[in-house]
Amino acid sequence: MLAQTRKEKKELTRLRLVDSGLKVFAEQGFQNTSVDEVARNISVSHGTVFLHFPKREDLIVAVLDEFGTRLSDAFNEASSQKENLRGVLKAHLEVLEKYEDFYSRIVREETYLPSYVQSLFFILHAAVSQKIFMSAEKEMKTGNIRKFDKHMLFNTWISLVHYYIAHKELFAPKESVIREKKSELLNHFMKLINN
Amino acid sequence: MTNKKCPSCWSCGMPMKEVSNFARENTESIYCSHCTDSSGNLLSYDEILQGTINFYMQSQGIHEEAARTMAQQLLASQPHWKK
Repeated sequence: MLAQTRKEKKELTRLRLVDSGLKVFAEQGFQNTSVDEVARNISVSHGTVFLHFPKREDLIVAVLDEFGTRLSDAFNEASSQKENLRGVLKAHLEVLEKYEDFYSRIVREETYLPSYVQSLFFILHAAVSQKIFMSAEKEMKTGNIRKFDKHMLFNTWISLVHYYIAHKELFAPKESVIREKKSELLNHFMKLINN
Repeated sequence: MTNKKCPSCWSCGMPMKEVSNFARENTESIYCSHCTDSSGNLLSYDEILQGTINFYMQSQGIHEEAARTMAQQLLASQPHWKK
């Protein structure tokens, strides 16, 4: 019984560290944040972090993993009731707006992150691309929008969105760039693909 | 990669939210419909790897080698294929 309690306590500390990582990385970015800062945020010692995450990369991977799960759950939830492509794209933007602080750190620091983390981010996009295309396909058939390959439809969309996120300080200083620009981005993209 | 809201496939990690996501539409299954045949049996590693590679290539148009590396990494992190 005691062993289980200890195990539960250990798991709880791990979850708190991951939560702390989500907060501190979002505020300061990955490159500017040490593992100790993530630990200090929740008053956990250096030794305890080391027990859970022997390498800095381990912590980043765990945090990204958790972030990926939350983001994909939120996107699935938000897009499930949408009947058309515009609705799905809007749902995508709303989820990005909610998670913009952390997400924008990945967009801006992706090339400095461990390759496994880059893969996770990409895999997340593969699922979004699939969802967007499933919705687009119906409207391609009805002739509402022009015909596109799956990858080009998604790459065009995500390039536009990521450009604004990558330069968020220029487009919307101290604000959520997605909140500020989502109507403009959505309207522009639909205009590009509409028949 | 545990998913708190819905189970994910033990082979490829895909979240299984709808009944149609599960092998043979059986919500008790730990595998998804993509990783199994019509009888619900898990496909071979090579078949699942190729399916994952194709999925990545088609979703974002990336190079096959890059897709292969990523697919291998992903599968290696899932419960069924973890060493």
